[in-house]
Amino acid sequence: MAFSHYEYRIREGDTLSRIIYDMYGWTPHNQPATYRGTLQGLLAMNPHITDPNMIRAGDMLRLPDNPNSASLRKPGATLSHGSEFVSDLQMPRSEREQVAALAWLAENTSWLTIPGSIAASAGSNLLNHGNRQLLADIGDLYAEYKADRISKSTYHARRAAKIAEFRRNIGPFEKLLYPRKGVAGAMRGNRGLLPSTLSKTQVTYLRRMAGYAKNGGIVLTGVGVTAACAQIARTVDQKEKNEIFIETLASTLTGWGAGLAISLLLYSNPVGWGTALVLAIGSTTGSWAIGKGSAMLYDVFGNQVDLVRGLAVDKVCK
Amino acid sequence: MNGIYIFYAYMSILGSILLLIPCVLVMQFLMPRAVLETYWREPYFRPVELALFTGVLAPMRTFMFMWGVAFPRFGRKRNITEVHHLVPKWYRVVSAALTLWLLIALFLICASVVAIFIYAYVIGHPMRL
Repeated sequence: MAFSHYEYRIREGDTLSRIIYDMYGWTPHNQPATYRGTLQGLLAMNPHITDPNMIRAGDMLRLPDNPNSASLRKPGATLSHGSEFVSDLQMPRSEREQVAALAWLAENTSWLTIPGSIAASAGSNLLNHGNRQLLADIGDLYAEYKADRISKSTYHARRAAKIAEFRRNIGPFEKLLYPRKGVAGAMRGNRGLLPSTLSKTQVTYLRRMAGYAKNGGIVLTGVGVTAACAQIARTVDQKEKNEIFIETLASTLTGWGAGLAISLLLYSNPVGWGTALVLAIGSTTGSWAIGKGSAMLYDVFGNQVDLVRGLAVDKVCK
Repeated sequence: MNGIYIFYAYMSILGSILLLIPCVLVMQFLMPRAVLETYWREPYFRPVELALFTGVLAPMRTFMFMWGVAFPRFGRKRNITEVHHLVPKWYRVVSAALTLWLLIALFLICASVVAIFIYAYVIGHPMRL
């Protein structure tokens, strides 16, 4: 998310308290709480400063654009707009790019992980081995027909039944997988290929798609946890760190619990495309909402508790 | 009631779901082989399901059978109503306890979240979605 901040190149004789006074007008004595908050924010925006008493002339300093401050402005400070971690701080270009990517990820992860998780989960459910096997069976049926073990009409009837079951299982997702001709058209082919060859081609295609869905789900889980960790590391406010942690913990645990609860439903209902969608959408959006609600419950009732510090989560994330 | 206890109670329920995961894995390990040999096949389950609930998702299969062991009537559609005869009595009791606990825990979590959203709306607490 873009935000406004000031950039100032440190000069000889500058101290952080002097810079904060010149910039905002408060000192550790006239407004101690505001000063502490500003200093904390400044240190969070400038991770290259490890000791507030040791700053180097020539380094670039980023200063929060505080609307509550007096109209004092440090001479030489210029207003900038940009992502929180993207700056000309003294770090290698590759590292700056990684940090910028993490900052973007931390802000936008929900838009990526929620629809992505639904798609990956539904794809993984629908393109499982059992469904792929239905198309593989057509190749075996053709081999039986060529070996004169079944008649031509039997071959066609069984082939149609396999394709019908596959279509029933994947439902409207057929249009995504086979946008032009549908699965029946894909299994007919258009270059005089043998059904056994077509069957192998389609199974390979579906296996590749299932691989994308499965690996995509794993990557998205990692992205979600990394984004939460990045947010915890870069957030200054301890209460906000706890909210992020509890939101991530609650949504993950509820996702697992929902998966088990859905298995109870499956005990009396077969898995079709509808169930696959219910599985994917229900567990993903439900766990997301519960994560948000849990963070709010912490905010309202539990904000005296510091789980992030108690469990050393902030140290791990940093 | 002090608000902090509401938070502790909620976190305890969440934590109990975390404990449920190793319990299901233990139940999977202790599930009599006869259950899978008898019922984990066609025509009780379709090929798609047999393929889906193996490997990483095998604990879901275990939980399905725990549900069937604890409450046999729920298996009527699949014609799996005798599965409880294949497991010892303690397995039936533990299965019932774990499946019921999951449902109760999820209900309490959902109810708490709905309640907190309503409470936040009533007191004018800012919502961040």
